[in-house]
Amino acid sequence: MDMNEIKEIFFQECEEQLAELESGLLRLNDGDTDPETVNAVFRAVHSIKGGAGAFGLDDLVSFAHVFETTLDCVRSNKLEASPDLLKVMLRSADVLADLTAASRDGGKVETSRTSGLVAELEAYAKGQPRPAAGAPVAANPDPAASTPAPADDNGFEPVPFSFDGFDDDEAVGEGRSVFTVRFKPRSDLYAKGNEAVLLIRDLAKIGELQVHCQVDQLPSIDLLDPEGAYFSWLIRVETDKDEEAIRQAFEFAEWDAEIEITAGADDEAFADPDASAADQPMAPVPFDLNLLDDLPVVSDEAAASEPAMAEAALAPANLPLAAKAIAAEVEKKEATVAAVSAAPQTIRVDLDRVDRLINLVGELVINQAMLAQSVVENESGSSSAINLGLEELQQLTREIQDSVMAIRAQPVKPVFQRMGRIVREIADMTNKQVRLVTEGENTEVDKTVIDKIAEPLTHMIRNAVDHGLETPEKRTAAGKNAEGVLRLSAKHRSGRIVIEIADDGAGIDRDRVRFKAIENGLITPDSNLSDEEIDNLIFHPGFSTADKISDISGRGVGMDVVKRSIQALGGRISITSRPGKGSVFTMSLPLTLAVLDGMVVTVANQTLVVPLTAIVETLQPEKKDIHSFGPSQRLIAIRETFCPLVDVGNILNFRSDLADPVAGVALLVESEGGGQRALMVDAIQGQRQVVIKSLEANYTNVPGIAAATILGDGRVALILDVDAVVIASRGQPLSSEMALAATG
Amino acid sequence: MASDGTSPKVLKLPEVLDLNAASRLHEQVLALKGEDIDIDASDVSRVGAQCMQVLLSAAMTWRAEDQNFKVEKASDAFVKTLNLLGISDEALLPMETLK
Repeated sequence: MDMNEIKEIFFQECEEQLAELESGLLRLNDGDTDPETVNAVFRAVHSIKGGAGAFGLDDLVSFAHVFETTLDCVRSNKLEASPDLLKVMLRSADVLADLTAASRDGGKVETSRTSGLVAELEAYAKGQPRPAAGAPVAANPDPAASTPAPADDNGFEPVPFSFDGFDDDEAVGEGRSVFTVRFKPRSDLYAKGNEAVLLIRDLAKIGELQVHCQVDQLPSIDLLDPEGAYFSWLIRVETDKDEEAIRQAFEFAEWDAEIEITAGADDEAFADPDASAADQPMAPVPFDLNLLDDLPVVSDEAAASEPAMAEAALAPANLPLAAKAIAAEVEKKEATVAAVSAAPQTIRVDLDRVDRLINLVGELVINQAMLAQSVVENESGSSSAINLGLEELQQLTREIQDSVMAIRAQPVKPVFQRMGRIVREIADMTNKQVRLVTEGENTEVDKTVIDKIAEPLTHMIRNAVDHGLETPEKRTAAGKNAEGVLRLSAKHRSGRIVIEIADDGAGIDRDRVRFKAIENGLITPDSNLSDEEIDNLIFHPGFSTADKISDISGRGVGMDVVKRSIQALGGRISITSRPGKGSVFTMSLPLTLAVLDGMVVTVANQTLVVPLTAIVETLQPEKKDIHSFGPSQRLIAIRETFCPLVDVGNILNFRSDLADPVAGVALLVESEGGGQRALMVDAIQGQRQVVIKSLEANYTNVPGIAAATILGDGRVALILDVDAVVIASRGQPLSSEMALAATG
Repeated sequence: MASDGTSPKVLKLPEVLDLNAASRLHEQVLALKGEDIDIDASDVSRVGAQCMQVLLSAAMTWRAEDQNFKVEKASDAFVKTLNLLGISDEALLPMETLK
């Protein structure tokens, strides 16, 4: 593995860390007060910094360092995670993402963007000390800050630190300061090959130590897990270095140990005869560096005081502690189990390998279908054993296919998280207040679909903030909350993923859309359009209602492009809007782009596949239901409504004259905008799962045809692009390339 | 401390008592439960926190059961580590260092 590969892995991990960072910050923003959330956020930044340092990415390191320092203040409760601070942090997360991307792709992030944030972060880290103990809660509305840090499982409580009586009996050397370090390793620390002895020895190189080992967690020898972690330490460090230096001594241990560093001596904890110290009330052992190298020397003072104290400490009176230790142990084990189940094991696999596997499984499906067909064709005496075996093979193939597809399935969460940033940026640019609410982020969909929805989604989100939501003033005037809500949700519905973007803005201004459409010549002034049809005009190519082309939406990309890219994915998009209440954009996409359930039909001696998801129902038209309308239009009456009849063979230029509807079958399909069309085909062959083979990749794009597949008999069948056919039926003929498709 | 009069068993500690040695040490100590033990730590050149946990737990357990458990001889490294870790249990510190 060369350096570039390692670097690539680092950037992949960065992406995960950035996602973790953002989701953590958003949780904090939503009032999450769990210290683990702060830890997770801190860890994310710290990991990025660590990796970046290894690769010499200095810009990234220096920014991450400042960010980390501020986060550390929050982590140690010195700084309140106020909404303002979280805003700064969210922006910092964005910049960190940009810096990461710049480091990977070789770009550059403007220093103006980083320097401002660096200053803000530093101001927070320096300027806002922890509120004094006993400060009124009212002055401190954030629950995160007012809740004392929970006691960790070794019974350490945050000890209020007071400067009174500071260093009463010991003079601290000039220019030196005193820190109190509480260090409690977890068994993971040892399991990963770290050694508490070495860590404390490293610490001893920084300054003079007084080490106090707390052994109250230590069970009796029968209950002891030799690979467990029972000791914890209270260490007084007198040094001329800063807190950062101490932290660095523990740099590789901090995820596997509880480490708390506080400025000042914690004489109380050292002297406290009860609680944790009760069982080992030994005097702190003065420790000097000479001990590391020289002959064993124990200072007289310590040696003299020890025997008596140790005897008192270790008397049998401490036995109840064993019970406590067992309870603590059980609790800890349970906690470990929970932590393990929360983090499933994963491996990283090159996407190409998965794709190759998927392709092979596709071939397997085709092959299995071919085998089934030849068995049917050569059926002689119909051996039930063969049929049974074939059925089992079919089942297995299906299962393999589902499992392989599941490998590619990914939650939409990363894409949704990216939208948070888009919303923040646009909200800043337009001076709007927007809250993004996401739902169903864990809904899974094929990786290719995820990769491809990011762009249309981004555009729709921009659009929703820019056009959908009103300014705070307008909202207040309309009696709404000044902060607009944008709801982004994902869910599975009948084998597809449905993504909704709902805003609580003003809704579509239909008069303006209509006016604009007339102005642009999209409709005639006397057109009689339903509300829904007007709403759908915004998907028309080149349609934009923004009076001035703004920086945000006016990038030459209209909703028509959004619609086209979604259609290219085999998806649909629709809009519903209520004046004054807001709009909802609904995208429905296939879960995978590799297979599809289709209905195999015959049209003018050609075999076509119609995606099953598009079909509402199939019916056999009767003569009395068919009505002519104009020279070439025909309608079919279905349960008291009329529905346009579309001759697929004619639209695709398979035949020039219209087929006899009564001789064929009608497939009732749903088109976008909700209207229904009856597609005329000659016959239905059956329903089966087909493997999608891209026409674009193997041949060229063919209007009216979405893709191709190979059937069981080895023939190629085209997969119908239902929406394109419906649009063509409205009078916009498919391009002349169609003739080619028909013959090819 | 009471004792049954027989001479204590001697457990000689290996040179290296690192993370990998803790389980073995635990087994060895457990096997001697119920008997007085003298620990010989004179060969120890390296000792980790986990082995110290085993030894201290043993010392406390033996004491609670009124049995004898003490480090008779200890290397410099052993004593240095005890000091570094802030452990000052008399059973683990050989008398000679206390003097």
